[in-house]
Amino acid sequence: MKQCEKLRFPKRVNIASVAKKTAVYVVLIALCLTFIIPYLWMIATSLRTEMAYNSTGFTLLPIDEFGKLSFHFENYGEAFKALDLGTVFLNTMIVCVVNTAANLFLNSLAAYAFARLKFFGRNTVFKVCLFSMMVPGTVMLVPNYLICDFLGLTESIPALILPFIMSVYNIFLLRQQFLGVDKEIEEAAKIEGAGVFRIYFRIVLPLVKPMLIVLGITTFMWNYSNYLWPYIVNTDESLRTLSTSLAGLMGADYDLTVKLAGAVIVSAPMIIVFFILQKFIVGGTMAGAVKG
Amino acid sequence: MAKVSLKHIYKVYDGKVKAVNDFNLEIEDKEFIVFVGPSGCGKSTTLRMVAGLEEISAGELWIGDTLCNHVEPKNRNISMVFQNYALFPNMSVYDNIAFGLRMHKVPKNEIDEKVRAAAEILGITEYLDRKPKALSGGQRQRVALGRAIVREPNVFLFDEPLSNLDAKLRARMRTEITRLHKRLQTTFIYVTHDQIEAMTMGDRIVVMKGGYVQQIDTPQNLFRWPENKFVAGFIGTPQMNFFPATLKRDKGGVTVTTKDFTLTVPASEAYRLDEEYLDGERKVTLGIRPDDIRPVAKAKSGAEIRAEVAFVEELGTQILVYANTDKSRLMEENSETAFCAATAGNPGICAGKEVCFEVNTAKLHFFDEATGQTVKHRIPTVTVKGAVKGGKIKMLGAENALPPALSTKLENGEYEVTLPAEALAFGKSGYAGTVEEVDDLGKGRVLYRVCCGKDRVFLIAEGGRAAGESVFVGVAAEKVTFKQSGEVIVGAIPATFRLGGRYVRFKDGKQKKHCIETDGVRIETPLEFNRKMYDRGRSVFKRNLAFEASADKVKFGGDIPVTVEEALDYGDKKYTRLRLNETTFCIEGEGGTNVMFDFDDVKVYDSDIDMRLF
Amino acid sequence: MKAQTKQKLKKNAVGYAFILPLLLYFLVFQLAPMLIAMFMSFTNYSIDHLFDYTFVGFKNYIELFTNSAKYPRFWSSLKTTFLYILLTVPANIILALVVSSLLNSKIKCEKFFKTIFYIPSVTVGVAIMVMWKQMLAPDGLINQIFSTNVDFLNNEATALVMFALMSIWGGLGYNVLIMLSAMKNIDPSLYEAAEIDGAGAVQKFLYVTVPGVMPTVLFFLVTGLIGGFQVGEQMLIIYGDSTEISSIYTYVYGLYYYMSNNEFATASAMSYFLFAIILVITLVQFRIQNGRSETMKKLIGKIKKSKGEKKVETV
Repeated sequence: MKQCEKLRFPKRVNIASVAKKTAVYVVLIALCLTFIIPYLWMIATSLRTEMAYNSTGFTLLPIDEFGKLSFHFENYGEAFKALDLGTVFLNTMIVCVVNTAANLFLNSLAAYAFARLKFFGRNTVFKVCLFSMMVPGTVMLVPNYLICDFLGLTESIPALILPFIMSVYNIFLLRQQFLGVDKEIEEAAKIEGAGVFRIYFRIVLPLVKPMLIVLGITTFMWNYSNYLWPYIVNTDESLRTLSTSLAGLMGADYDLTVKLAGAVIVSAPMIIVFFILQKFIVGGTMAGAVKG
Repeated sequence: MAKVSLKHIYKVYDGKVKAVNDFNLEIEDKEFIVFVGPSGCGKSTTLRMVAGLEEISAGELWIGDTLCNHVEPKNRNISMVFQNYALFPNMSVYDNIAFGLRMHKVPKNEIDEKVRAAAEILGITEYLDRKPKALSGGQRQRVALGRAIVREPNVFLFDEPLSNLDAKLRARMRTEITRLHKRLQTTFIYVTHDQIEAMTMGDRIVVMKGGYVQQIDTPQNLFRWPENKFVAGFIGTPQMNFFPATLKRDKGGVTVTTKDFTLTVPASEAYRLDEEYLDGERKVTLGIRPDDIRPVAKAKSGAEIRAEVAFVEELGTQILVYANTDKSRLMEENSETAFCAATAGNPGICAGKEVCFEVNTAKLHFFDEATGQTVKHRIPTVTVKGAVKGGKIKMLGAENALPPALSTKLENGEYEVTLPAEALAFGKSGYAGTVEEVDDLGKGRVLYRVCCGKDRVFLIAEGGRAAGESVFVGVAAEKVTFKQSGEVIVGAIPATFRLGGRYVRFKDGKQKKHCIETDGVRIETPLEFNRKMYDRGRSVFKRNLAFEASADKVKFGGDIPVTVEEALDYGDKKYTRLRLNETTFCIEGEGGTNVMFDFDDVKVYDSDIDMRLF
Repeated sequence: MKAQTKQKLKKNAVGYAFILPLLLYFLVFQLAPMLIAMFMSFTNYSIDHLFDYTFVGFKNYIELFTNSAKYPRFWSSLKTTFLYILLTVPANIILALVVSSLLNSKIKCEKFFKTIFYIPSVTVGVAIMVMWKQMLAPDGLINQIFSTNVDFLNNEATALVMFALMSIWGGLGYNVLIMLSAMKNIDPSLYEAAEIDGAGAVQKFLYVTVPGVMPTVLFFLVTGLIGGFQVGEQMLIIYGDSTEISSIYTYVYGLYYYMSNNEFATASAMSYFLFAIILVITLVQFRIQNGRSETMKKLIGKIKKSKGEKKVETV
């Protein structure tokens, strides 16, 4: 008889812990909604007409004034024109690509020198650079404007590139990476007959590739989003970037649906890139915060 | 295919911390040299200086016929295997091995040929396309070896290459590297902290500690004739046992007294001991290797230690018995009465039993308790009794005339005569004796023990004489020291002397002059010497220096004024004692009040940090 | 001699070749601008005196502080900035702590939540402002949800709070990321030890989590302060360079105002004053950071003590 007894797992449901877990999920999901709803609302509204928007209340679907789904992509066409997207996108890409490439190369060059090469005054130069890291961007705004004015760089694309072509902060991060590279590997290359530049370029740079990718992405994104500097240094409409152009669109007399369509156009690429390269972007954030 | 010589190499950090001190070594072509020592002893630093990865603070490094101090690593024709393999992680095994050849612009087909040949030797052909990450530790080590051998360098450098492998693999790679050395017939310099690696692989071993070379010798000689306590303890497993002891000369030999036992050094070994330690009071450290203490049922020789066994380790072929002569301190591993004995068979020993141990008294070692230097020498400096009477000396069973320099100074009486090996030589006349023992020191040098009268003396000569041969021993009087109850009456003539001072430059009219300034006496230095000084940087003008000259390189003539103190007539050689300010020194020859230095010979020391500049 | 000197020279030359771009960049875009701006701050360089500016000494600085007729909003802009910092920094820290501990309580979809919270951090700043401006408009999303009709951004009472909310909302993802990794770095055996000693969830949070993330909290505090003093870009995007709403007139917003009006002497002086403030914060932070190991020791001591007390209770 005993063997026929039904096997049963002991029921050990802890009501308190289930309630706690549920509460945690409820709070998190609610918080999550405050992040998702604005974006959904923005996308939905950018696909509606102004009239439909005014005649209905709160909704997260692109519906017309009769409550039916309808997609008005013409908002995007208008935003495209209003942003002067062709020129603006090209400007932005030039700035982003040139700045990213130059940053990676020049910063790593200097970082490698600070990490591994021995030369007179190395530590002094490095310390001065570290000190300059304490000067925040906002403080540099006026000085940088003055120097660009002095050099006749205002109202030009180079004005968007040159002041940010290097970054002491990135040099600092890269130097930490280089210091972490096993010295023996470099010494082995040296004994095998490789010169300083070859060791840097062929041996060490490939070893810090993950960091280069991270810094490349963050530099690119920073330049892509940068608003203040282009706004101040270039007023010519043909020199606008995505950010300044969008700000112009926001201040101009357009339907709010068009403005939101513009916001979607400008922000979508970076958000898509984020979802693809999440690992690196999060890694970059962490690398940046370690310093604190 | 190259000799490597390191001459007075120093490594100094920030002008004060000395990592390597006065490293001197001549490495023969095709020799396998091992640097061994505990961590921080400077062995890796020395190797890295040979490689060109560290700057040489002072001294000269010669590879082949080239002075390599300032030669780039890539031009030294060396290759190096690193502790962590140092493989390029972004390259395949093939590219790793080929890297150096590509750097040296070797044609492609030749590279391929060489890489495949090296891979074949090391058995890594099948991994050539893999990345280092996909390899095991042993395979990576082989790739690192491959990268080193493919360049066919003159010198191979190894920086603790096996320390990251497990014990089994390490033993295998050890034999593999030895085999590689036989096959390649190239100079190997190998750094390790593992004395077993050193003993099994090296032709010669350099033992280092705290930046100083302790001893350089073959594995066998290091084991048999350690020059100090550190080498004795470092070489050999299990470690040598040490006991505090005193020595006293007795009729039959020398009695060794420790806290719990006494032993007798047989007469055949006793004269290797320093005379001054045999007074029964000076503290020495007795060293006995575990192999020389055997547990026995009853000691036949009478050289026995009674001790209680603490525990026994069975190693298979060998049994280690840990015992203590002091029962109350049985469990104290580091007590001065604990020791370890090794035996092959098991005579039924177990912990807690009192056992009798027999000691091989011919193989005892003794060290000065304070300095750790050995008191038992392979090449002893013998002190014999000599009686001076009327210008003649009676010693070593014969009577011979003293040269004038000595006969005037030595009054009649008994003296202790110290005879270093280099003061003695075989001759046609002198003191008659019989060769008792022949000991080959290598490199064509042979140590002879000769019995003259009742005394035994040691001298070094070329080979060709056998034990029992009758010989005459000549004595170079200028290298002999005469003492009376410990006080030096006449000393040997020093081979070198030092002048303390500074290096200065000044303007004489329009000409710039460079001088050694020693107590206000200025000695102008020649261009070649100045060039060498300038090589050491600006600081040479600020430091307190010492200048060392060989007495036989200083000649009469020249323009340095000296005072003649006395003439010393050693018969066939004549010396003069001179004074230059506060310093006195003896040079060969007679007459004249001016001398000249051979500045090629003058050695310069930084006396602030005791470092030889060149 | 030659070989050695040559080698050294070559080493120096190679080193300087590597940092040459940096030196050029540093001279032209860091040092020179700072010096020029410093010089300008001692002149009356402005739209009226573009070519005939003269040296005026500390007049600009003194007037900033004392001449309320010329700079009527100087002191109030500092006050607004302080208010903004008070609204954002504590909220940022507390929210990051709470959300991170929720995410750290072994829940599923941790990565999903983190990703969602992080989206604003990768959204172009201007686009976010466009979105919020429309959401906060009288006919915007917020008013739709609550069926109200408030012009949040053009209302003296609500405007600054709205900017604080936007900043907290936008920064949450980043803050949680940093805080969560700090929490995950805490040795789990500390929690186990606390649990064995009888600590509950709250005690574990107070005695293990909080001391463990203290360095991160300090980091937020300092970056929050430094960032808070620089707030103004968001206002500039929403309102342009002049507005009727005085409650959002922050220090840096004022700086932009003088800059866009080509009052460069004033703008330079204001930049240097801002730099002075931030420098002080940074130096204080260094002081704290150096003393932090001491603080940590004390905190650890406290934990041990509390554990000890617990033990006594259970025995």
